[in-house]
Amino acid sequence: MVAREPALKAPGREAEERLLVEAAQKDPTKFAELYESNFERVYAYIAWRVRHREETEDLTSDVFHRALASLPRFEWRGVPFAAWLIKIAANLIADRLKHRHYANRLDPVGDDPVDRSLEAVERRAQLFRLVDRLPVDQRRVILMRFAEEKSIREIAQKLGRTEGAVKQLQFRGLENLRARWDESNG
Amino acid sequence: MAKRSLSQQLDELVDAVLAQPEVPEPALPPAEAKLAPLAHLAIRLRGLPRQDFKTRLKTDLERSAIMATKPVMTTKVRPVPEGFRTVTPYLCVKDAAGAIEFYRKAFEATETLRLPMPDGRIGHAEIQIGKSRIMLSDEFPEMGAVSPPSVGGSPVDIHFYVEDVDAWGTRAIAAGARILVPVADQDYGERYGRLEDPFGHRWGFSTPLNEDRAQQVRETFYVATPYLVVADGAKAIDFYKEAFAATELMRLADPDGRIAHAELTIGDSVIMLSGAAPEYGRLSPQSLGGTPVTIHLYVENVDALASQAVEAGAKILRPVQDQFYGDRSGRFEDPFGHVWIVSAHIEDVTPEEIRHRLDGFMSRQAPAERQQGPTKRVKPIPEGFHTVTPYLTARQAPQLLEFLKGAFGAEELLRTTGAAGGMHAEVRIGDSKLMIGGGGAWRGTPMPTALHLYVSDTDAVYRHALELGATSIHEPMDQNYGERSAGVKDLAGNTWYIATKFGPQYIPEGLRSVNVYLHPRGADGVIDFLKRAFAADEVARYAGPDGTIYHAQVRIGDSVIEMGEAHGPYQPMPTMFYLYVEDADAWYRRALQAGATSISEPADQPYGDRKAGVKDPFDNVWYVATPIKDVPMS
Repeated sequence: MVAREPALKAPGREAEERLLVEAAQKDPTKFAELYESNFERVYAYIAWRVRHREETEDLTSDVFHRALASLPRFEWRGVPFAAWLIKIAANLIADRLKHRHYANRLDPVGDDPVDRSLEAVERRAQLFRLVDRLPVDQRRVILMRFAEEKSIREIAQKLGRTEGAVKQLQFRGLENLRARWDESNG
Repeated sequence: MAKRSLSQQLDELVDAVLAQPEVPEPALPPAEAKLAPLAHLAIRLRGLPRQDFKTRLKTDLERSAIMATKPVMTTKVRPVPEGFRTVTPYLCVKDAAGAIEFYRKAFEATETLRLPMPDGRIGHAEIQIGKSRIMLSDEFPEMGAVSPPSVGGSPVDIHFYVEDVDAWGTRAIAAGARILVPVADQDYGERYGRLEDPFGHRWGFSTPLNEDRAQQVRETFYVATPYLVVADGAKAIDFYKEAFAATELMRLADPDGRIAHAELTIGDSVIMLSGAAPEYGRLSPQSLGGTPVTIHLYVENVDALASQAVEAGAKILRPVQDQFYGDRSGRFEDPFGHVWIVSAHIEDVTPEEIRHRLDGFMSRQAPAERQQGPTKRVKPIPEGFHTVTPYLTARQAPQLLEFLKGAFGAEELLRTTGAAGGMHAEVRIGDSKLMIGGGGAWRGTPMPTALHLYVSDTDAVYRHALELGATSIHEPMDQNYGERSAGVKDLAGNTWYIATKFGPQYIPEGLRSVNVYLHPRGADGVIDFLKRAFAADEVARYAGPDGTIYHAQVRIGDSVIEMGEAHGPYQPMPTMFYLYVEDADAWYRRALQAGATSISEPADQPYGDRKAGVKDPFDNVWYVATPIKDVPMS
């Protein structure tokens, strides 16, 4: 699992991202790198607006498939690649909003100021990436608890540990995340 | 009322957060002030992506990307002959004629070519199953072609996607195949079953359950796909990319990077691979000591690809040369023990012409070589064994055997009655064999043993062992030496240190699934004895400032024994060992000179070994044995 530095604003980062985009335009199999560095951002944005897991996964998948297909037509205009992806996501969400069926699972605001939310998305994405860097025990518990939505009892059974031990790991994992998140946000 | 711990209070907050997935800022129960920031963090974590979703989407995208770039191949010379694809599995079988008959019944195979040798063995045959040719031949040990019984299994499954896996399973079982995995729905979206045919080859069949999965594999319906087991999946993928210009289609890795399943394309074909999983009987060529399935590649430029493979690290078994049957080909072994034939078709030759040329080819061979035929040499170490085999003795030996089968997936290979009226059994756990004796009329003294058992999931095996009646010595915990381990005692008093090494390989380099662990008083004395008696090599020694050995490893032949000085609850457990050696008499004398006492003089045994027994100064019992003739197992 590669955890990448987000630092969207750094100029070196921009040049590097541009190279990645150009490489992927020539050879679509290079798209994997763009995916790796943007997955958490796209997912975080969608999860934040669509508070429903299957819906979030479905939309995330859709965004990246569309991005892959449209990549040859992508033109570099000095905006982060993530902004383009999030624009695709915002459009897809708006499309789905038209269907009443989805409406109650979506952000009631509906209208989304993409530009202002980029930084908030970045912070959330960063939190997701930090989970990957937790010590393995804590990471396992945090993932099972928050991503797989398992109960403490289920996790304890799965890991062969006591419920007390799992609660401790959850506690230490969250504390750890909190400290690292604060640190990375200065 | 007792004050609830912070971690308990925090968990109640997390429960409250998770119970309100659609509320932006959920209402939280009151809690200590210092927990508030953590509760807010928990709210942000509600949308945490599932790891497998991220991996799966990546795989999907990679497939789409590859589909978008696939070049159209045009060739004038057809180096891939009519009816073949890039990849063809080549099976070595003990009775090729019988196997062809079986495959006809079980898999609706049709025979397309058969080339008998002058001695009656089938030198080469080809059958068609589904959309694929499969090559096969009889066993030619003198040329490195060995069958599953000789290797002790197979590190390659032949996998087929079919429209009705149940029908395929039913027909194969009716024809005499043995079920390894009954046909059932799998959580990865396929209905899957795995069989072993009467000749020891293994076949997997699956039918996609959903349209997404069907879409992904539609191209490979009814195409024979080799499924390789390798010791290190990630390294193997890199190697196949470099050596055979393979493209990675997908990879499923666990959080430690171990490859659970991967798919690569080579030319127009797919191969699948996974890391070794001894607990599911998936052993690598290295742990089996060979492979009965060769992967045959038809390629455009055989010389270029062969040198590319050799540069990447493949070993040449037979250099590329023109063959009488119309191919230019060479044979190679990759760093993971799999064998590949790389070929280009250079000339269309009719089967009659091949037979004619084959006669000429045979008569040019030296007559002595030709008449030698398939001589069967008795090896110093029988198939599937290693130099050192632990011998567990117990009053309740049959119950112990059942426990090992249930708790550790032991495979029973042999069960018979020993000379002293007890049971004698042999089992395989992962890549290791163990002997078990006792019960019945046996009145000896049981020798419970301490063993280091490497598994892919310590926690699960530990729990399972306890369910089956083992008692806990310690719960699973991460150790500072890079393993997660747990301890249990089985009903016969054997101690099992269940362990999973961190990192891509859960078994450390040089060790096996099962390793004996001694806790002697005076470990350096034991090491010294083993060096003098059995030419042991000291592999590792971790000692304290006063020279106390905390942990040491010594190698005898191809096997490693671990030990640590007795301390606290870890008191000496003298162990019984069965050692396969070249010359039992010589090693017996050498052990006595090193200070052992005789238990039994060298003597021929009815089961085909010449065996002697000694006891070392630390009360361990060593049987040294040399196979003198092959005796059927029963």
